[in-house]
Amino acid sequence: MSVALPTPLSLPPGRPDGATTKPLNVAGPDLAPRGALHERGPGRMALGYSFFVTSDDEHVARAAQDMFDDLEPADHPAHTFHIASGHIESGHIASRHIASGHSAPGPDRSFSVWADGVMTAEHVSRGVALGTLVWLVNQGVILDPKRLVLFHAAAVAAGDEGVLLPAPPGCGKSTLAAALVASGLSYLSDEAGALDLASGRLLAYPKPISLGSGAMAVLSALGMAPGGPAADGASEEEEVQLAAAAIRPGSVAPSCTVRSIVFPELALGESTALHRLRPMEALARLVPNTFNLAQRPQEHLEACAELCRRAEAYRLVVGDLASACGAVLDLGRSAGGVHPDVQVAR
Amino acid sequence: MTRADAMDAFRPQVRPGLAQAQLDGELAVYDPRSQEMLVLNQSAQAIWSCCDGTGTVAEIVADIVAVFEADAGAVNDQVRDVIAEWSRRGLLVTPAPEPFASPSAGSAGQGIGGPPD
Repeated sequence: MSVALPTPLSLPPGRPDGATTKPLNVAGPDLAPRGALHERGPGRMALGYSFFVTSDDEHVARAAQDMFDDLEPADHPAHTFHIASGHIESGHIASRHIASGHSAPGPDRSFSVWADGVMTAEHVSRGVALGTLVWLVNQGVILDPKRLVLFHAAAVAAGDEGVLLPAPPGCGKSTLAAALVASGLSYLSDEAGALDLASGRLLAYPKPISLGSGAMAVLSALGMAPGGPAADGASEEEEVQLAAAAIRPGSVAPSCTVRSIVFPELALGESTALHRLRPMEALARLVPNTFNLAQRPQEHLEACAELCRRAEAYRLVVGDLASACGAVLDLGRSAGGVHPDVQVAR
Repeated sequence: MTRADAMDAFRPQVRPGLAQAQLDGELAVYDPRSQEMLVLNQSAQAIWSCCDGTGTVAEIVADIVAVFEADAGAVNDQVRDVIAEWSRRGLLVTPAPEPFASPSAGSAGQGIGGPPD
């Protein structure tokens, strides 16, 4: 008679170094990193959250700028992030100015990440510092109150018709999004689908796509591996932060309607298959993948229900990336959608 | 008073603050506190709509039996089970007492079989 969904609300994925989400609280004006700041380009804005990135390492500053190049420019950013190069000295960060700007991570080289003057990571590699920066921006975008329903989802589009891909961490959203962008679809996000309550449209949050080394290997094997500017300094254990433009220039779409909702489920080795879901089944799967439903429960639940009423919804069993990518592409091509329980054999 | 008596006398009321949305004849109920969602089919909705704080569980059972023309024994058990489950989840409370009402009228916000609201 009643179906309980015990899954708790999805939280933003953990910081790439696995550390606590709480700031270390060691910041203070006296400990703030000093040195020449490389401020590259304008501030950036996503879904109303604006920020600016600086670094005393020109190479890191350039990588950070490239990562967020798909976001809108912001004239007066409200938040500042700083990545400082340095080393641990007597229990605090000592700034180290690298004149050449070309420096590789090494055992004596580390970075600290500062958010609005508060140190949030210290003594981390370049790759982890950049990953932490992306995570911090995600937190800001997601937690910043706004008239949006935010889904933990990737989002791509064919023309104006979007595909929302909600899933908890570890289901391959980012990898699938990267493959779909490489295959010709437009990119909106690999992390947060933003439904505008006023217009009913899905807004882009084109953050850099976060890909692990395994995902990069799979994409490479399919001929979809891009060479991203942020990828060169990452170790095998670290995520690569890749701008969508590095996969396919001009691939970012500003917004779209939601035509399909596809819930990917990683089942490597099984046959890839799409299963049609009833609207209420879709809503039951969508709700646990929202970030801010509890902020305005009635308004947001009604918006989610309306979304499930008007969009086609599917469960996608992902046996392998190529066939899963093909299944989503077929959805985009098929005006009538895919019939229930169609097996997509490739 | 036994637990069964307490259930009979309980006047369940849907807790304020729950979000609800109709979709294809079913009702989604979202609890922002637990961040869980229930899906109620039509018979469950009939019980849910009776939980307005005015009727006792015994009266709700009688209403459901009359509406669905179902076996009274089976309906009795099912309605009590469902109300106990919703109460355990904190979705139901007792209505707030009227001003100047006797303290024995019940403590506001307290469900049956569930944690204090």
